[in-house]
Amino acid sequence: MTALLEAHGLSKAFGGVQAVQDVSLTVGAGEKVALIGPNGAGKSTLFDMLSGASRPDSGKVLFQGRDVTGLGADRRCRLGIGRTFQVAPVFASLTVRENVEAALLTARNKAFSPFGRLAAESVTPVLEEVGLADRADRPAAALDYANRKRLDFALAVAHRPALLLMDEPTAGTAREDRAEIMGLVDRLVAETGAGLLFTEHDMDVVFGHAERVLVLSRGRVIFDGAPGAARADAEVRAVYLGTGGFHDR
Amino acid sequence: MALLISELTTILASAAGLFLVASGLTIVFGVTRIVNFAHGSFFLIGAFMTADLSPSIGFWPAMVTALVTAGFLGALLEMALIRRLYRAGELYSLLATFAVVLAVQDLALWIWGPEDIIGPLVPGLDGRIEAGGTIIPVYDLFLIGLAATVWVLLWAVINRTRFGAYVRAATEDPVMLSLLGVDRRPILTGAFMLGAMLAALGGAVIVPKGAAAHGMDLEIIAEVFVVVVVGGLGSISGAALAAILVAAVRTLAIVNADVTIAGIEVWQIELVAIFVLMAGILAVRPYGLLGRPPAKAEGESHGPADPIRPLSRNAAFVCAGAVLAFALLPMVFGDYVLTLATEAAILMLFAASLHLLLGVGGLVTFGHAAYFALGAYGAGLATVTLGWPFGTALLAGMVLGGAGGLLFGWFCVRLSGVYLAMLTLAFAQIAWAVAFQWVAVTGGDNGLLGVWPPFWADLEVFHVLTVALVTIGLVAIRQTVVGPFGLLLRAGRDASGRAVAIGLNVRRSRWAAFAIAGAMAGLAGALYAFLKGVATPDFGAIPQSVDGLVMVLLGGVGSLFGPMIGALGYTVAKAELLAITDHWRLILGLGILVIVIAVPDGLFGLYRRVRRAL
Amino acid sequence: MTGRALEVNGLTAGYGGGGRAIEEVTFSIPEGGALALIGPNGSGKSTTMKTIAGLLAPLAGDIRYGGQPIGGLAPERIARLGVAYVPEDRRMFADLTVRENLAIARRGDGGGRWPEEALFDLFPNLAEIAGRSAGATSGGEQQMIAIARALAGEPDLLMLDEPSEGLAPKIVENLAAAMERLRRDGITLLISEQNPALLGRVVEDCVVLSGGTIRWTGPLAGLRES
Repeated sequence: MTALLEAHGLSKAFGGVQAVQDVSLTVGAGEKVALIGPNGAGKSTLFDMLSGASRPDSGKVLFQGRDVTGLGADRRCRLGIGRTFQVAPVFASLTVRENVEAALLTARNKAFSPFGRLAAESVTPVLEEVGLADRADRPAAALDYANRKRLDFALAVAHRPALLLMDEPTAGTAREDRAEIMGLVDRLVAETGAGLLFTEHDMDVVFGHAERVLVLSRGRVIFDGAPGAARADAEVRAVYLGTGGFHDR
Repeated sequence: MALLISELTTILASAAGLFLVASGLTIVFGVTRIVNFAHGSFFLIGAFMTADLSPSIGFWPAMVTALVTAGFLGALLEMALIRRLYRAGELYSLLATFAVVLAVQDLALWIWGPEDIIGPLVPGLDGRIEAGGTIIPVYDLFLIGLAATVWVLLWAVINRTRFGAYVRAATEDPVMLSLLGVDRRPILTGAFMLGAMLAALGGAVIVPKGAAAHGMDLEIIAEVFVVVVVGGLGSISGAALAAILVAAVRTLAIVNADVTIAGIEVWQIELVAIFVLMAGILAVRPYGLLGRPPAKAEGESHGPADPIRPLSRNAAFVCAGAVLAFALLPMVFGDYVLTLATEAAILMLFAASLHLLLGVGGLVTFGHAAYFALGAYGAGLATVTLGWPFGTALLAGMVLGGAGGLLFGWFCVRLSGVYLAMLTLAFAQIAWAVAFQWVAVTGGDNGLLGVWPPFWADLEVFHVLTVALVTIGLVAIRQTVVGPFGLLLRAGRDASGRAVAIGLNVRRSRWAAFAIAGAMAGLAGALYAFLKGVATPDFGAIPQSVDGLVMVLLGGVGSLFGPMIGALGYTVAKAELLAITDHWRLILGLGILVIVIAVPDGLFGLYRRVRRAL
Repeated sequence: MTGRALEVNGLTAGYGGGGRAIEEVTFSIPEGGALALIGPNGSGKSTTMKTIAGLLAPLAGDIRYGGQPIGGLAPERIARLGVAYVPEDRRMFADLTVRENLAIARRGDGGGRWPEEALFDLFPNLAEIAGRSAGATSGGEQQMIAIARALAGEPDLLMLDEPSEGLAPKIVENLAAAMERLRRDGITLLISEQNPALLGRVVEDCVVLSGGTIRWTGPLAGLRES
């Protein structure tokens, strides 16, 4: 039985600095995995290599057993990988509905077709799911940050991906909104059996939602295991959680 | 050996002139991020002032006067205009500086008259010396020495002075510089002034080799753009390297003018070779030989466009009515109005096709005339040379324009921002150069003559036919924009990384937009050739590209109707201006400046703002 | 408050698009004091500093330095008043040498507290790499250059955005020592920082930000208890 996502020996350097070094990881279907580590540990670089935004110098990425190392992010998306972004970029000049419609159109291979826009009804369910149905016809530029995060999530899951990659899903949102966003994520994973890999700085979110934790430090995985064990691990405390009790609130 | 020395001297002397001008442009770009068309104007001012004043006060005093004047004007221009453009985006800064070119052209005509001024002799440097078995003009050696001296001096100023350190720091990270308490404004003014003086110096020392001629501003700026882009925007050594490369290509083409390659004599491909060199280098090194990828942009001041809503029933009726009224003009008006109306209709299609790339795709192209010219020559060659029927000829123009879009677009979609604008400009120059120099096929400067529609298509019929075809083209473009393809093209414009992550191949989407826009511009060019009866290199020249941009901006880049309104307004206004004044360039230039600074969202944007306010 | 104190009152700011990255942020630092901004990424620490430095215009509220309102002034004017900001990404002038990076920040005739020797005394490593281009230095060295460069402008208030981020513990130790020395010299410090060890040595008070608003203000020791 192969895992949903497998990475083998990924490495990448920028101008002589080794950002990610020999990282291997797996994410299973229906599994929720958090990727944490100090800033500059290589999380973004690793994330980019998994989503296809950049290519590794060496190593392989397998998705559903298929080697996708050489495929760009657009191809990986169409194979069933959805992605959200830390700053939640959306298509500002399109309406909220059109944003989601764009995601559905690429999933249906209509990106180069001059005709065949989707009926409003086929987009509405996705909007209802994330609670944006009442804002469907406003320009996305008019959304506040929390709603932009919701739309970003809708763009990532509109095509029902088998794997969801989320870069800091709660970054920049208020505490109340965090529970709601992660609630959406949990529900999607439960319903579709998708695998989830997310980076996060809020330890409440990490320990409240992840079933497994990967800790990255200086480009290497220094811990891979249950959240409880991560909290207790001396090295993880030393490089990330700290010993001062800051993150144990 | 003798031949080698003589050729080497020629190459280096020619490179010296290019380098002097290019170094100024690259410094200005490095510090201000503005690609400055007006650099050509300072070159022209330097040349004309030197040529004009030399007979009375002597060459050297004339040159110094020219330098001081250019420096003063440069500082003035930076403080009055350029300063407002730093955050406006490359489209607006390119257009605004081009407007300055237009205005200066008219002022130069007014000050120095329409005739060329023969270059002065430079006392003491007009002889020749014998070296290595060949005879070399002393002036060539002087140019090489001067360029080398300027290179060293610039190096010293940039690397050894406080001003230079500020310039380098501002080039890398102007925001950090201000965080350290340094006021950027005097540095920017200083750099611009230095750039203007270098351009004028280039003009002053090149003019003794020939004459000061109107039109030398755009000629030099096209070449110098190639030099700085090939060398890497912002890199002085890159400019030197690229100047030598370009000069070598040109000198070799001139020396071997009679050699035939694949049935084409070399002199016919000199200009093409230079621009192909540029395209080739940029395809491998997108930021030039010694250039580096641009640092994070400071952000544009223009917000996102409004969503495109479906046409209301009423608006659709108004459109249909407008088309019908336009088609029925022959029943009311005579030949003059009819010709003008036909021309306006054709240019509406041209502007709309440009808007597809510029407004909808977010791709700042500065060479849209290329596809217009390809269309015109496609139709012209099909009619005149091949004797194909009218309909097939129109189709040939459209296909050739689309093929141009496919070919050029393949390179262009790999770049963005000012680099994209420069590459599109270079491709347009290639198209222009082919038309200009490949005399055997294109008729050269005179163009292809006798591109007339068949006898049954008199002016009235041709007008109705044009309105019909243009309407079909505009409807097709609108469907392209509002259909799934256009929706995703707009998505890629708004946030390209996000668009890739929802599964869109953004490059391919943009590439397709280039092909469609090319085909539509090609159709417009083909119709234009039939309207005028000729296809000339002017159809692909920089002013034609700028005309298109002005139309789009005048109407409003944020709306699909903007370009059409702009094309109509611009065509009529230009015709009227030409009829009543000789100074249409000056007026056009000032008009562009007004649009860029006061109404960057164009007439349609103005209309929306007024309606919202009421 | 007297002297060159920093007072931030009801500060609201944000980036384009109408979003508010910080809202109603209020705190003050007396002359010679030190305050830490604590909170997760995106909580508004950098936005607060950028607004004080003049990179963002306040949407509401008021910033006073030494009693003088500075909110909305151009960054170079704020810097000349003696407020230095060392951004998170350090922003080296990579093509300039280390020495040039320091020299470029200097104003006037150089008769201040921080001539080059004093900077090299504070960060001894820098003397060895003074001729190297700043782009070719390590992350720890860049942080030191960035701080030294800020000091070269003779500030009275120094804002450090995540100074220990991505640095080896040993380097953080050096940084902490340098900051202690700056405090002894009377420089006012505003630091955003996650490293508790560093904070414990340098600051007494802290402000906890989350989601752009202040959640807690008080002495650092009190934070550990609450």
